[in-house]
Amino acid sequence: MSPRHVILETLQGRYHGGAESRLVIHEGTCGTATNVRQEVERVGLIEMCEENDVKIVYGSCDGNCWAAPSATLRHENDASEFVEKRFSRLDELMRVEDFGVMLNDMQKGQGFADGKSGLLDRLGRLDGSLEHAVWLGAYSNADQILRGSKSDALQRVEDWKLTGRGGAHFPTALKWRLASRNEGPRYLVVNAEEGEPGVFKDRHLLEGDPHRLLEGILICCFVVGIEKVFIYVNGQATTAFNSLSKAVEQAKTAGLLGPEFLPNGLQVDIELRQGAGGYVCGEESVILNSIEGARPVPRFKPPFATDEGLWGRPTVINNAETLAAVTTLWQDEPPPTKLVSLSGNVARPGVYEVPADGTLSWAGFLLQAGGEPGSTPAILLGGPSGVFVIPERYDEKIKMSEVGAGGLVALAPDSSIRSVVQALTKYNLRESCGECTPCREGTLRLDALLSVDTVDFDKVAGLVEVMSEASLCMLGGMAGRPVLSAIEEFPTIWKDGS
Amino acid sequence: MSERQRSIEIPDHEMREFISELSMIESEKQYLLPSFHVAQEIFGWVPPAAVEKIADFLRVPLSEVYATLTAYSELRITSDEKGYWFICTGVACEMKGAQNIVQELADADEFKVKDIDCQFLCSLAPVCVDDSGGLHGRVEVSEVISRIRESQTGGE
Repeated sequence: MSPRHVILETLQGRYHGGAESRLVIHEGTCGTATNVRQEVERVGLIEMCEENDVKIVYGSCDGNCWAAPSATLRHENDASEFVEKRFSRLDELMRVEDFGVMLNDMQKGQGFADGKSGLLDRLGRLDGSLEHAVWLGAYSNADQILRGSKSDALQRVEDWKLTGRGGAHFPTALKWRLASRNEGPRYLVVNAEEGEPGVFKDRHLLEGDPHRLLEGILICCFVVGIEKVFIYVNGQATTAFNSLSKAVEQAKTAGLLGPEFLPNGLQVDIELRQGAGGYVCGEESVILNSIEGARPVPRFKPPFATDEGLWGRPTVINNAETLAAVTTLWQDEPPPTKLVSLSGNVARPGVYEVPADGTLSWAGFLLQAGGEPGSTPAILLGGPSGVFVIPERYDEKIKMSEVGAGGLVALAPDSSIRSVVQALTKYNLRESCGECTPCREGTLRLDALLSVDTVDFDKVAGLVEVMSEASLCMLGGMAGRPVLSAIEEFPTIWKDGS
Repeated sequence: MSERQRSIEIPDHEMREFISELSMIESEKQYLLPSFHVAQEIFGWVPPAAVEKIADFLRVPLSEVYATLTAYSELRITSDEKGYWFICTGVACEMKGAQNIVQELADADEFKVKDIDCQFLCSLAPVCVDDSGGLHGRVEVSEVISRIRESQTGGE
């Protein structure tokens, strides 16, 4: 048995491993914002758990943000099979008198597990310990991969055509290959800045299953040959930051970051950095400057980060979701999925995992989330650099290339598209770092062009072309995208101040 | 930096705590942003006295420290926003009536409330940020008012 396997077996062994009933209180950002601790007390769930010998565990949001404040009663047997029952919106739906009956049924194996798989598999189920994460499969894919060769692992990433989940869709395997060709030392920078309005999937992933990201990081470090990693987390995502910090310490203490677990004497050092706002800070070269302590503005490209990144060394910059997705490529049926943050006019806003292979339609997705395609005038994809999908397209399948970073807002029947576009333009104006003229001046002019009663389409198109061609980074480059999309899809709303 | 901000007195114990925390950071330029976070965590903003200490400690010119500091929207270079509550006005929150909440609270002329960009809790819109940075989801005007009053009276 390899030392690597011993580590995982030991961790699994430390988890109780026997039959147990638990109530997972979904705390995290969503639970905290809906006072879940007070609510579980108020509806009597805590008391019920104590009376029925149910262990109380504080976990994260499980992606069903709409359900907050919520908790899940879970019964696990010796073979780690489980059944679950979630109490959504505790104040509205909880029927305490059924608790004992329900628990009894669950302990007899009667009940449901929601069959989640892929990236959200462990979200909202974990108790925060490394042992529990390992029990539920964390690091098992890494264990398998580290037994093989680097080239086999890289081939797998290439075969499954994994692309960057931050929105640019650059082939992950190619990025890794380019960096590994350059002489070390090399760096890995994990982009968990997620500063795009309307997107909140990475912070859910980091809060709820940080070991999935760490497992993806270890696979990348093994393939590319990297010993130093920076994870750049959004400054407002403090719960995600704390959860990740704890996970890094747990992994380090258990020996998962060193030669006991990693082959060829590899020792990985992971450092967390907290951002401090600024949409532009999600741009990869801005993150490099920020980590180095320089002013957070974009760099000229080329040179690309895989050649000259952090302190001039070859650097892989991957989105947090991309690295998390790497861990799913070794499952029996790799789920080609994309995490999506859905909000707006739907009954069940939250984090969804949608198929990336084009099998789900916009209408199907809206219905899944409790939305009504018939009364949704448009879906905004990708916030300030996004586009609008209109009802005529709802039967089309969702394409990965359209979803961007994964922020979707379903608009309401009374939403003013024009106001939404103006708000997005003003946001881009505020967030422009001012480093390049096309963006600094362009966002100002664009806002002015949209602020008149009747908008001059030709002037807008001309300005947007200059901005997209000449801006230093994609903030300026794509700032005009929602404007052009809205003009194309809703040509009648730009006259006489309508 | 205005004279007014310079003249704000920093409590000795906060400055001592800051210096002690700063000394635990490596003296390298790359720790500029982490140093700002330490200052904001302790003082609630990044006061001029702290900026000067950071520049000395990390051996980065003061002008460069300010150029970097002022580029981050979440770092506060004034103490003016202390005690404010914020209503998120991201797209999802706007759709759920955020602007009306801001307006009603402003009309009451009694509360320190401002609007703020997306707080990334869109699934629980509309969202409010309290004066300690805590997030509250699906808020209504009456709830925000009672929370503010509760915080002003020091809780229950």
